[in-house]
Amino acid sequence: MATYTRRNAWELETEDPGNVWDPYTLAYAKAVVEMRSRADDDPTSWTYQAAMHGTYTTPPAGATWNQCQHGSWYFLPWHRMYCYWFERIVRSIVIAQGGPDDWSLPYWNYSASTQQAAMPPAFRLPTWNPDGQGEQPNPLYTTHRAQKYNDGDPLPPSVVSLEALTATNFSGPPLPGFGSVPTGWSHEPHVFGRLENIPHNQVHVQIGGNEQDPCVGGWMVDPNCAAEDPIFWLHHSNIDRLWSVWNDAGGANPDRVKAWTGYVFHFWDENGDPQTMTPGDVSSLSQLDYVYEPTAAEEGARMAAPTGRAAGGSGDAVDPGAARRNAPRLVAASENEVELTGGRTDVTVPVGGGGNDRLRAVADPADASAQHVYLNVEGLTAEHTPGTSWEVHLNLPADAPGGGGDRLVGLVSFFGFRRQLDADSHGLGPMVHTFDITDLVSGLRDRGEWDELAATVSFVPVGGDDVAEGGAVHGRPRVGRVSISTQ
Amino acid sequence: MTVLPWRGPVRRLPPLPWVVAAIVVAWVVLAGAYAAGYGGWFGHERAGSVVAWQVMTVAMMGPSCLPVARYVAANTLVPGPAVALFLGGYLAAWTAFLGAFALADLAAHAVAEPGSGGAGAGVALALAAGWQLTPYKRTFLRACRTVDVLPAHGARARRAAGRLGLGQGAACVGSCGALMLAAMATGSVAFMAAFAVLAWLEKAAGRPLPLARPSAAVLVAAALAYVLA
Repeated sequence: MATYTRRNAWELETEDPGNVWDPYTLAYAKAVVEMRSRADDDPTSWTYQAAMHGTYTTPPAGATWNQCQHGSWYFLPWHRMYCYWFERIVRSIVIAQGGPDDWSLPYWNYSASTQQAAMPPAFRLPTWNPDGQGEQPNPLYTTHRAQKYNDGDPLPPSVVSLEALTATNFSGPPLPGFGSVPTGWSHEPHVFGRLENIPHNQVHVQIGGNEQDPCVGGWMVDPNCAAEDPIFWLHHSNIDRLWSVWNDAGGANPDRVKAWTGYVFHFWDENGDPQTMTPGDVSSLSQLDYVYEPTAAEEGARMAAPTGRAAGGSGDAVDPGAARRNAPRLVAASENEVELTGGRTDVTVPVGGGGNDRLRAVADPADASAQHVYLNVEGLTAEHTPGTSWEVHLNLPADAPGGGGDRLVGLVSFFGFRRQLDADSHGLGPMVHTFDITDLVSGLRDRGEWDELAATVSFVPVGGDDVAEGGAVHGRPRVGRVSISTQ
Repeated sequence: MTVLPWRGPVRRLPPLPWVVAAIVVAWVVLAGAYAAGYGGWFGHERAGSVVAWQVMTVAMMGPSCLPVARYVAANTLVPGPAVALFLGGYLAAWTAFLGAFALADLAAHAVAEPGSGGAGAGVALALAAGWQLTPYKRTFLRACRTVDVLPAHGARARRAAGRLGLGQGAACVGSCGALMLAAMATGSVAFMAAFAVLAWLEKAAGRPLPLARPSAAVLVAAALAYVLA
């Protein structure tokens, strides 16, 4: 039985027009102050909780720091657990301070409207005046964000798209699935699931803005300091909500896969005692003590979702079993690394005869050797994380401006790339964004618009932090290779 | 899509059965040679040892190298030549290392006389234990686990695969070279198998395993056993 209801932060604040400090937001701010006053090695302190997600600071002995899971099918459950235990810590402080005893973590529903695509007002005020004690620095505010979002700009529509809710399977096929691919421990991101990529990653880089050095400049843009920003928790509350929306619409979690359900993660409760949890413990909100209040956007997403996603997890017209059995086949790849800029960047991907044969095989219903075509943006790296997203288009006409359209494949960002540079990381391969382009390629072929010799992949910047049109972008972001594969 | 060797659906990568077969054959040859009293070929006092070292490298390092070979096969448009050049580069790095050590050892007549057991083996095991605990070991291991985007086409893909093999081989020499020398010094196939398992766990585990201290402790215990025996 749910005891707590997580509510929309914007609507909390509009319940009392003109007063951004509703009781729940006010209680959160006071709890942040209290947590920041606690010792770094106290598991209920702000620093410790943020470091559990990631940090560049060497952990004290026995500390469960640097635990966040990204680019992995553990991304959604790990962050659900993380927010759950954080919420318990905050609630205990709120109650001790005389705040609402039903306090729960609000969510920031940036997809609901243009107004709500801006950060909730309380997070944008540099100062506050708690209990009439005079103006003080607002604990919910930080300058470690892109200034325009602190000024109230809304996030761009493509960044907060709910397109991920149309995913048919948790881990694919088609890849990368709603919740990303099966992995082991994955503190270093590799392949992002659809919800993790949009809106999760994109909101992180947009709000964080350009990172100058590790955790200097933007916070949200880097997993190793993102949770220092109080808006992080409302962002992840919303991602958690969207996962439950997808489940409610028929999306199935991998509940029968022990590698997913049984993986043990470590957390701390409000008393500073260690706790363990597994994805199987949190696969459904009915196992926990909170629910989300329904929203109009949620209903819209349900209506937009394809039918047929019953338990078992596939509404695909193709045979998911066959797709899992098939090995991925590289059919085309670009030749050289390319640097992304503040303007449109085109990359040529030579296809060739063999590649077209493979693509024809995908279109052939009698050929089960491959059922999906994927576009892979591989080896994303930079000197510093840019606070910019890039739209990825396939065969975008030369005079088209980007900004959505029917050639849009998805978005890429460099969120998490810096883990590759961390000397203490376990080593890894290139960071990859994978997009299912089966229908897009099929449509282009049917209309005679597919070039048998080469595909053109275009990167168009979106909502960047201080991006000059056509100019260089902070951090020299590069893409190692763009490839097309089938499976 | 690019599939990383260390995580995710590895079974979807090309299986490379000929590489697996080569690893099995190498173990059979290695065990057979020691059982038949030809273990000295795996040291450095024989002219044919260079060939024997390939066998030992394939047997001991092959399992932990296989995922990267499969990664190479999956991520170029010339998988056959690329995998061959990758493995060639990998073996070349190990051969250079073992050759350099053999020359140095011959010149100095120092520690780790191959298969001699006793104090030499004890010293080699103790050195391997110490190496497990250094930050250099961790740095080499990380490099040994790291792969990058490969060119997909023609000669560039082949050259890149060869360079990756050399680089991976050099990193794995840094990570596991001390273990390899200790295995040679003990002249024990059982030790070689144990070291191969350790190398595989260090390199192929999806999550960093706290193996440095336990493995160092075991190596120290083995070193004492050899010295006191």
